[in-house]
Amino acid sequence: MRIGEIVIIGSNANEKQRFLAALSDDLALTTPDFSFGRLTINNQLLLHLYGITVHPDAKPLSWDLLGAKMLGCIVLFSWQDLASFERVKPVIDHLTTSFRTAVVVAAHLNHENMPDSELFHNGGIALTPEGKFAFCDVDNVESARRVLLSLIDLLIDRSD
Amino acid sequence: MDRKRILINEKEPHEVGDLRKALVATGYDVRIAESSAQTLELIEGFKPNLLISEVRMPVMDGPHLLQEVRNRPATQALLFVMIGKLRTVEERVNILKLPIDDYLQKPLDIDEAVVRIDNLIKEIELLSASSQPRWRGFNGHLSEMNLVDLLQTIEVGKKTCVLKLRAHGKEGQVFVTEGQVIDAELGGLQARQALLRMFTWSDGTFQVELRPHERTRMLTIANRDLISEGLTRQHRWRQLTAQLPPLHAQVMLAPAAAPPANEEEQALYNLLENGAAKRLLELVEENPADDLRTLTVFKKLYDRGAIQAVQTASTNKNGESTQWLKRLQEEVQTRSAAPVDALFKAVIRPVEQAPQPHERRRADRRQQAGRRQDDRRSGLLRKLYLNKSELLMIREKLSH
Repeated sequence: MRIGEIVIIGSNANEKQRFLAALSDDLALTTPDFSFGRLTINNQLLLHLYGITVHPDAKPLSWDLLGAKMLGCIVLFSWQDLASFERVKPVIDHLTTSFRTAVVVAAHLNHENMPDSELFHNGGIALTPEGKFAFCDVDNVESARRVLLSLIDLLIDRSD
Repeated sequence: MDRKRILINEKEPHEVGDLRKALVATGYDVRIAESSAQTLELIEGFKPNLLISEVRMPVMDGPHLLQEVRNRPATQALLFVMIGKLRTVEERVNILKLPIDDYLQKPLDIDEAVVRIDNLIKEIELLSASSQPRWRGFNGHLSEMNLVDLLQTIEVGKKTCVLKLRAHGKEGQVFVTEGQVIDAELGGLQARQALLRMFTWSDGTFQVELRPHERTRMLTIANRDLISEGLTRQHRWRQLTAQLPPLHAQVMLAPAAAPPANEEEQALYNLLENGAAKRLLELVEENPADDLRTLTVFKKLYDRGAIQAVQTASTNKNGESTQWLKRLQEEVQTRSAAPVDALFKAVIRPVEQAPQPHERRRADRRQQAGRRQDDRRSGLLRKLYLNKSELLMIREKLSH
């Protein structure tokens, strides 16, 4: 069995956990700081999804170790609470500058507030070769999958 | 009304004596053959509606007899019930995987056996009455299950079937034996070429006929490799079409198009000669070259301005790229998005300065290549530990 590891970082433990629940077949562990879920692709391939909360009281983490290991990263923040972006921004900077980690920055919006522009629903907006921006609704499976799909597309483009 | 005929292949006739009596009492004409060779002989004259065979027969056992029956056009759809004393679940499961209609464990429960056999024959009568084909199967739309999904499903079930795909006014067939693709055809295209063309179909219908066929194996590539190639082609197709006018858009040669640079370009020029406008999809279908190759050549000509989309209310030559930047800026401006706005500003140039799509992509590629080189020098480039095929499998799963 081959395993791909994807890290989901968020400053809001609850939103991050809901996002992970929307993506996983099996949400195996949930704590305020750390969650873990699995998404089975087929009988040979599995994704491990690690949810990590970034906030001043969270346990310190070795981002160097994580950055070297992960396939890619989704960074969640709340569009209604832009201070939450400031809290995750240093992690994005560190991962993209030190490891060239593929990152999708996803802004959580309630489904009813989702812009109806196709642009926000199809593959995210490429910011740099390492990063994309996307809107999402953390409670919506389809929306969460689109964000993960954006990340996979980034990785596929890199493998060309 | 003619009595329905049942032939029993059993080396120990006394073991099926009670079954025979019960079937005759139900109204069937029943005969017993004591070897598979005799059974094959009797099939021609007696023309049974259903064949019952013991699994373990001398010389030619039940599974081999089944193969022989299924290989003959006249009997390939004959109802076939296997009987036997298989001790383990594994043995019984293996028998049930064969293209048989039922398996009955010895010692036979006569009442149960008669009901099952009766049901099978009645089911076929009903099917014949409604002019339905003998085979079972399923059908659907390629937008819900494309060829890759279908092959994966059929492989898991180790099915023998004929898969019919219809799209763009054409019908292609894929022949599968025990889950392995052995041949394909589409118009004048055969085997791998036909299959590769159908991998990119996402708009059309499919029909899976679960039935034996007599196709000779023309493809020796493992399914896994075919599927991997299919996924790669689907991805490449999506990449290319995302950079081109919609497939249903009309395209034509530009009035002052430069002469074609090679034979491939000439072929597309020929299809668009005398100012003809065609749908892009038509162009791909009509050009004898591989569809991905056709799109690649088309893209070159389109980027060069030698071919252009016929402007309509919904499509314009390069409107999409500038439109999305405009829309993005409008969306962002309507929200108080200080930090995210700052994030965008680094990468979004004003619309009037936005490069043409092909220029932007070239610049991105150059930038990426440059970065990769820098990364290699500094040892920073992380090795992806899932390969492209695996990433494409993930993409496929998430897309559904």
